[in-house]
Amino acid sequence: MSAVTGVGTMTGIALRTGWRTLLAWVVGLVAVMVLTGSSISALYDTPEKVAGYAESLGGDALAVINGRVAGLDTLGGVLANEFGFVLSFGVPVMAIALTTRHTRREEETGRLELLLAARIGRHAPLAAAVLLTSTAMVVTGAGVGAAMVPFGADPAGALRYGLAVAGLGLVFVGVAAAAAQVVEHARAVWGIGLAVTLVSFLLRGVGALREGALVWASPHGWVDEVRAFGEDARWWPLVLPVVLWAGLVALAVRLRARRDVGGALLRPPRARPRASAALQTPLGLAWHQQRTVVVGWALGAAALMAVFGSLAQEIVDAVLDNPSLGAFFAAGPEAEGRAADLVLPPMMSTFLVMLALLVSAYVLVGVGSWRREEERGRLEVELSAPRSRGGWLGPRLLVVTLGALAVGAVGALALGSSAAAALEDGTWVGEVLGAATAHLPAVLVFLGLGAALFGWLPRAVAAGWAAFALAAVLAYLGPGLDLPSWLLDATPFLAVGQDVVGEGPQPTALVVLSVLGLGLLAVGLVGFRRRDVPVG
Amino acid sequence: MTTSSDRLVEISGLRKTFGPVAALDGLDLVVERGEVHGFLGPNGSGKSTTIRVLLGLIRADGGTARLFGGDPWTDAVELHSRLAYVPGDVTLWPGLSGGQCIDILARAHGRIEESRRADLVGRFDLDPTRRARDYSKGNRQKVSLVAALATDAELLVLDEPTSGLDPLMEEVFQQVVRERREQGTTVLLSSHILGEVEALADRVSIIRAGRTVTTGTLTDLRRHTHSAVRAVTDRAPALQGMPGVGDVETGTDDQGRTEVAAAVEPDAVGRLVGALHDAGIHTLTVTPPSLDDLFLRAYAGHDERVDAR
Repeated sequence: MSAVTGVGTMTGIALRTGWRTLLAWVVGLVAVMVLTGSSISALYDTPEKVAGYAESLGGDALAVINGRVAGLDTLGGVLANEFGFVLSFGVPVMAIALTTRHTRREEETGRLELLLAARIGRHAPLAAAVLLTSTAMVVTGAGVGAAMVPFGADPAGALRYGLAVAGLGLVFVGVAAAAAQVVEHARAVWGIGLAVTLVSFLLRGVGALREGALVWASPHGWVDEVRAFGEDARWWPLVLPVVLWAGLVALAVRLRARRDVGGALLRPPRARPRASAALQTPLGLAWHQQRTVVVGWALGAAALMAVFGSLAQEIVDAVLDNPSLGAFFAAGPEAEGRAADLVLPPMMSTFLVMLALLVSAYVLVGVGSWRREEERGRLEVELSAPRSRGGWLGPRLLVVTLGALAVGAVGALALGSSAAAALEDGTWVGEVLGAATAHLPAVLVFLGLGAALFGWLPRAVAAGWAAFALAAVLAYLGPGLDLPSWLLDATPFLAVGQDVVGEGPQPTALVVLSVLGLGLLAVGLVGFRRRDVPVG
Repeated sequence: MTTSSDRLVEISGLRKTFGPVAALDGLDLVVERGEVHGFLGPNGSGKSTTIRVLLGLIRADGGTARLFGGDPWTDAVELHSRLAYVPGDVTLWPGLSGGQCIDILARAHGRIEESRRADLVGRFDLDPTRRARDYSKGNRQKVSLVAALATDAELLVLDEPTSGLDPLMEEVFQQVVRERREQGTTVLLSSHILGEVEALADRVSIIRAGRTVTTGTLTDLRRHTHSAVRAVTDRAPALQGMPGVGDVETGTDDQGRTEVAAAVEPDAVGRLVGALHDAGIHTLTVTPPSLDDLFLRAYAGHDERVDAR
């Protein structure tokens, strides 16, 4: 029996247990491209309109977020640029999610041990997981590329772009597979994977804006360097992700050979034998469970926002360098000031929408933790103590609320102060912090939605993420796409206005969202007091 | 006769359905003060559902349930200060150490008896500095048991508490439960491990498919069940037609002596042994009915669909 005996069996098992999730990811990502394609091709239906796309972006400023996408004067380039955010996070998260699911999580639950006792070689589970997830990434890339062609993108360019998407996914399959050997628990694999995603994304953003070599240090940058739809398109950068993928998988195999099943190369240290007085209170326990999560999200938000803010001056310069826009502002000493006044507020507002998305995602993670307490049986045990339903949920609600405020405050402070430093204008700190509060009602809506689901339909708590994904896609793509305005106004992150820094929030929307959020929260609390625990 | 205040748990005709499935279908259960009550049934028969109703976690659809004379749903908070609960499948808080989990669980139910806590951690051979996510199922159960047993709860509700314990720890568990009973604690012990219930329980309720099949002391239950007798005698004993004796099988061993096997009712044991004595006893074993026999008998007598499940 060789070390890879049973790869077929293992792949079959992984497919049997995970095909729904696998299919949902592939179809979901391709569907976003189809939606983008149908909307963009309707909006930019003449070559002249396509040619004007690049100018409508405000020069190179958006390169911070989307990278330097080549061929913006072709429909394919426009599609690639619009898909940029989904590519940057959706593709890596898909790779991390699927790989973790089929490696460390199987080990953590002990299912793998059961299988290894059968005629399954030691390396077969890892090989099967990598095979399956890598195939899924290639299929996704091919699907995304193919989806561009019917809308008028150049087929060769679409193929290059699709392969580049697949390549980015492969890199993160490798990252997660290697991380799964080093740490003992699935959530730590997630942590490593997301941290690598963020670093790669930031390196590419800074590199793109400065037109430096930094983009080459980032797998995200490699996608741009293929220049799929540019006149100077090239195939060879596609080799880079494949080489890195192969290297990481080989590393994972070597690391796997050096450890036991269920074991890890890094083991957690011994813990305290007694609980402090604070930990023995419901609030203390709730905080203890959330603190790493809150700190992680706060650090992530701070890093992202600090980078965006520190590029404020370069964004203004980029706008002035743009011939058509520069002419609009005319020459002269006031040009820079006027450009800054016109460009920076909407830019900062866009960054704040991203921050609001992050905070809302944290809130859903927090609500998800309540459901996990129930699924794991801990809720049942805590409620068997002399403690009411409200006495359990109240402290947890407080912790998630304070956590969301902390993540938001840290992110807004990082954005404001780094922008203030870059622009040498201290008023930006207060400006950004004040404008950030406009998004609090939208976050409250997601907290309310999560609580309502937890109270009435606990099995469907994850549906909150579907609502979030819809709101996120609309918030990010909506303004650029030809969508009806009522739909955009109904999106929590856009209802308060698309430029909260420059124009201030829409008061009616603030009230409506707050009432909706509080109402949902109250509905959730009532439901939780009345329902059975646990709902399996 | 017992008064109702001595009945810590009083359930009658309890019903609960989950969608199309009737988890409880007219279940009865009475637990009296100071007893260890064995709550027996196969997986999926409704033991955990009953316990969750008692703990006010789920609401019954019909019938009545009283805990310490109160309503388990509306008075949940007050009633819970008098009991401690060990669930069947415990996950604990993965990031906390076993010791921290014990403190949190025990503190939630009231005061921790420090000396008892230290004693139990030692006897269950638990390493309190390891994180819960690294514990085996058995160790997680030990944490949960130590936490419940370290409190001064009047009622311990234990839902299959030993399914992950090794035989040595099972023995420790039984000793500790006996000690607590001597101190006056009442125990509701749900289990499908018959030996454990047999070793600990004063009274037993056997349930299946959400309904109580039989209830009583072990002696009560045994009164209606046969003991197995095996003997080797010099001559063939005269057992034919003896009242209370059945399933008689006789044979001859290699030295020409008579081998006898029979099933005997409790009242007829003396009569049977007399007859064997008259035939010249070489060896004799009388095995009282095990709980397995009671269990199988209760099932066979009540439902022909057992095999179909």
